Amino acid sequence: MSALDSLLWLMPEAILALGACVVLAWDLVFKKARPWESGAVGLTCLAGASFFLFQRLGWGEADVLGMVRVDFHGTLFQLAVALSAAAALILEMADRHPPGREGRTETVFLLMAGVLGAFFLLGTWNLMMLYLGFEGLGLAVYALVAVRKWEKDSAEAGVKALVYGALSSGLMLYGISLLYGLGGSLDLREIGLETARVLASGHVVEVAVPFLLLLAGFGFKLAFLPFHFWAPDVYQGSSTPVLSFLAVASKVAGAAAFLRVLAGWLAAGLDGGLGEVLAPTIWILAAIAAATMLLGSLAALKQKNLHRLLGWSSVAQGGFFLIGVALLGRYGFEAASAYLLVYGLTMIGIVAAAFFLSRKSGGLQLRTLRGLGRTHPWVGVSLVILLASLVGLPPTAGFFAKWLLLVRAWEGGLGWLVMVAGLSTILTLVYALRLARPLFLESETDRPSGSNLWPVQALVVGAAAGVVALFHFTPVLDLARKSVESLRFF
Amino acid sequence: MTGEVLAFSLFSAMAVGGAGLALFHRSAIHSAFALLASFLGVAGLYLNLGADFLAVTQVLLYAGGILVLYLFGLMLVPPEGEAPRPGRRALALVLAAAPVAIFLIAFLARSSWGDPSRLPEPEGTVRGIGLALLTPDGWLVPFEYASILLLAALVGAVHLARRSAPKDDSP
Repeated sequence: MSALDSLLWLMPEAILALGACVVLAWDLVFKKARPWESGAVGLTCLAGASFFLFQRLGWGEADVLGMVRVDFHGTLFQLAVALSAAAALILEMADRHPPGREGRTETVFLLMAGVLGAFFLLGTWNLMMLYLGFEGLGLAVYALVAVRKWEKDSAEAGVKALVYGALSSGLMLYGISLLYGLGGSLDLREIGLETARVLASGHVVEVAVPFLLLLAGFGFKLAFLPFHFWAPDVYQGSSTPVLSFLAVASKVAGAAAFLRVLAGWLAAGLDGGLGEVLAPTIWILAAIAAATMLLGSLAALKQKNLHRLLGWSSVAQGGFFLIGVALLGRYGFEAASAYLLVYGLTMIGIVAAAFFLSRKSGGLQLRTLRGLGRTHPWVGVSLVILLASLVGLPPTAGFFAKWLLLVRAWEGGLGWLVMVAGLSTILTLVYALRLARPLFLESETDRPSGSNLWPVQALVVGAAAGVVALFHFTPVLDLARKSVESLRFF
Repeated sequence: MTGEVLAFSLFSAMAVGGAGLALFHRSAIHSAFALLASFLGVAGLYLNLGADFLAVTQVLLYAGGILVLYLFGLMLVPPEGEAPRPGRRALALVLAAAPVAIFLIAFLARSSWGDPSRLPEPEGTVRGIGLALLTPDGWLVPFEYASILLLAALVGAVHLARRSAPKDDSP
């Protein structure tokens, strides 16, 4: 592949990298630039990158420039990340920064840098590249959380994210170095083959230790137990647009990369008839999934702050995703991928609705939302539909996504996990009702009607429509199947 | 051979002597400069072993970066009140670290190191590393991406550290 060809393959990454630099320079060059202009540049770049990603979905597979891997799985989730980052950017542009536009350009730049990190995190078999992407996404998130430094919560959340993030990524780096020692290569596929050999000769500890260390790294990014402590506080402290990025783009990227790592690393062993040796892994993951689901939904029950509620809810959803991962096989991974796509779309809508409602009511407390569903029926009804998808009720895509996960878990012999998931779904229903109920109650106070925030309304209604349209689940299933097939270790 | 031994003795004296001076000297600033000598000594030892890249990195990172950070810290935050008598505390530290040192020396003495004359001549590593970093099929993408990662970290740090803009900037 010539250098020019490689550039064509890496067009989305190139657009983002250049675009981020343009955003940074925009305010310097055009002194009179309006606050929204850098956001518009960012949005354009994300749209361009998404266009090329969409093209790339059909291009097949290639190793580009040695370390970058282009395949269906990577490109699909890169597209998901780019679109969810665009949603976060729309919220950011609709938001107002109290003292002038301070921090606007930085937010846009950091969002784009984070997306670029996610691209490299998702598109590689190379552990070096993977770690760089992981750190790039993480660094952007730490800074984004603290970007509204004039708010006390924000600075505190930034420090929390940084400390937990640095600790977990340090642990993960240690795990990666052990894997390098184990496999003699940084390429996960080669490490996978070597690992299968090591496992077959009965050395389990050599694989178990890096596995646990990697779990710590991804555990932070996905906020599953026992690495979830940061999530509620950080979600609470960050602004709603940043929360959207955290809950969707960052989480989806981490989750999809986790799938790739497990597929490349352990699947070779599963193929080689090492199911029994790997059984403890399944149990560990299943136990984490159960604990995460239960704790997340239970804690979400009594939250009064909208951001905190979304934080715990996002923890719980990570647990559901882990059900599919814990099955450590093709069908489980397919279900997990499908769930991830549906979760992303649902969560984009819910966070956008939360943004709209909190800007209308002027507060993040649940009780301040009273009556908003009556005055803004489009957003109110859409939010109800999106919450139904989060719970997993028909007629929404969330129903099939959850159903598929539970069926696969049942088939995989994890019946108890299905029970826990069912219980957790009931809890989800309860907190979803707690969120939706005040919307349609009589309002006590009259609110001044501000700007109509139509892009945000459109985002909420669009996400709700998408969730309903995908009740016809075949396209999602096809995408998930193709993406897992492209990991090709099954 | 004698040149090598001479260089080794010189650099190790620098490294160990600098570290000792840093521990026992009364003034924190002088200690920091003694540490500089120690870092340079270690860099010299690396150079002596043929690890030229490691030596340059040692000078750049430790002597050029971390030590300057120490000095800034020391000069910006002057020590308050009576300085603790360094002698006794340093002695306690040395005593606490002694078992580790004894263990390491015993461990090193037990290992067999083979015949030094059979070792290959060290070759420079800088050229190889430079080529690997900039070859398209090598480490080019991570290398270039790392610069954007650092740029993001820099933007975040500058934004957080910068004083807030005046209020009249608001629309």
